[in-house]
Amino acid sequence: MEVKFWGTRGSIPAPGPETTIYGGETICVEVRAEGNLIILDAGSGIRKLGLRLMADAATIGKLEGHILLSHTHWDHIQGFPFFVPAFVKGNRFIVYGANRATNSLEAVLAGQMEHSYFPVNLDGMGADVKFVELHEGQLRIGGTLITAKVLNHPGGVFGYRIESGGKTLVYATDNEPYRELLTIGEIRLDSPPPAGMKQGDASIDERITNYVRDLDDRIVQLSAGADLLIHDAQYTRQEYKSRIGWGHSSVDDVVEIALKARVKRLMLFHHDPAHSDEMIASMEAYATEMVRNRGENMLVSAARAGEELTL
Amino acid sequence: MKIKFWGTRGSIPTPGPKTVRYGGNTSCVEVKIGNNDTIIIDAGSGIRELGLELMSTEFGKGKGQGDVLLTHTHWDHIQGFPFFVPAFVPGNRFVIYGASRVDKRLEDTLAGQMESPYFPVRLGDMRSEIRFNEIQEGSVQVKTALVTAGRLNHPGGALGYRIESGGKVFTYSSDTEHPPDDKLDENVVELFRGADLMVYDSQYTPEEYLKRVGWGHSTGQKGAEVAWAAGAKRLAIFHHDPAHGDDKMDEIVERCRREAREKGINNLEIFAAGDGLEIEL
Repeated sequence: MEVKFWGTRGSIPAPGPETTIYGGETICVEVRAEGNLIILDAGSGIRKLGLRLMADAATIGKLEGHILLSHTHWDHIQGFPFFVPAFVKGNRFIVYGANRATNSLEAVLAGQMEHSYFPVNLDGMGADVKFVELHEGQLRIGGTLITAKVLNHPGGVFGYRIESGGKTLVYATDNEPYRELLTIGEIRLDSPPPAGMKQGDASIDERITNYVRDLDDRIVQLSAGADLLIHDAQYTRQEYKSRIGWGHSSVDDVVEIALKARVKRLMLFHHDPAHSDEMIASMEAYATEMVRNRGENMLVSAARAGEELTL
Repeated sequence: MKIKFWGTRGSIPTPGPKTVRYGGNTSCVEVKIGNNDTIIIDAGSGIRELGLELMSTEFGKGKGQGDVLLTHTHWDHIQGFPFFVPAFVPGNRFVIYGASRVDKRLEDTLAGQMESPYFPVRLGDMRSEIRFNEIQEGSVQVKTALVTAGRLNHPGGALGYRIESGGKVFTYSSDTEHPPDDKLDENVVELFRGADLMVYDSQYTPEEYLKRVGWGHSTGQKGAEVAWAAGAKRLAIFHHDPAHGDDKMDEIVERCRREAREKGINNLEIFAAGDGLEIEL
């Protein structure tokens, strides 16, 4: 499986001389698995991926790709109107995303290209673009098995486990542990008690702890034994304290998750727009130190602009 | 009048090593007029960094008052607004000006950018006081400045702005397309008359433009002709195409200067605006 990072930045693109190493384009990762083109998210980085695809003359008008969206916040879809291969007749794309109660995935992407906001409509794209709405579960793209699991982010998010040719990649951008959200060492009165419990239940503390632990176990299960886990590590532990509930993780939490899941390699991702290359390098060093102090040998690094690797 | 460019890129932000000199943030220009008042033109991604700088002024204390002029609501002119920190600080007051439209309120267009499933924070969550002022072409007094809005030629419509204050004139048309043949857009020439500094949509080279007729953008060459006709003193090439790296921009500026000279356009200073550039008029 080949992986290439076209967009590593979270929230909003961050241009400038201080982001040239770890990258300023918003989220997009290209995966090649058994000849299939799988694109994870369509942040601004997908524009450059599109230009690269267009440079391969042999595939123009014959390209097929699968775009898996983790969710539809701007930093994960804003590149789509600039994805040139989607304008080329003959190319075929399937865009996958969470099934929603209110409006369709297609309507969400179309809304981004409505004329108040953008001069070209979604149906002005010349390629054959289909939308498939997913529930939690599995799907196959050729011989590649993909598992979609709901993780923790405002509005919802999918993490994806991609298994192909004996290798496993797990993609968990925009995920926050439930732990701080539901209880900061005490019961939060604004959260409804878990099913089967009432407020004032004497064992509520222990049951909430177990409940939260089960929720937090979801990402560990999804990532179990992965060759590579790409996970949102937007904040330092200090920064995270004032951003609880924003749907992102601290480096500390991510390293814990990765170690627990026994992944072989962890890549820190979704870099904060305020973080310079120097800052991200220090977060990377911090994570490496954390792993070493545990006596583990999991590889950890912060995803760089344009980085390529083969699993 | 002091001008600071915070975003000079068109269409979509362009991070990376090839744009470190001219910058990659989308349109945002800060205009400082008398009494240290701030007028912000457009809210592309550049407004995020402007906002961070403003936090070390009275805006950080909730005592700021700012006026934002939007040319239109395409993404590259509004996408930074949800990240504009001063708008979250209670006590700050903002007036946002933009074109009045028959079919949609300006406030709803801005709110639409900040709702589920696109963004986790709503416009209503911004704790500063934000008023929307929908305008047509014509003049409006904004603090010590006279602001005139003029119609540009862009899909969906766009406003150009002329800001007059302290005897200086700054004009801005980030998204406009010139008419065919050798004509000039009289709306733009009028709006830009006598400008000390004019910012003009110069997204394409003349060759690129031929394949993008009707897309709503122009060239630096046309900008120079408009500047000449309007008697403007300085032309800032602006709204750089995402495909144009720093070296290409150098080339574009050189070529615009040379071709302007060849057309007999003298006494016009031509440069390309870059993120971080500050100019005092």
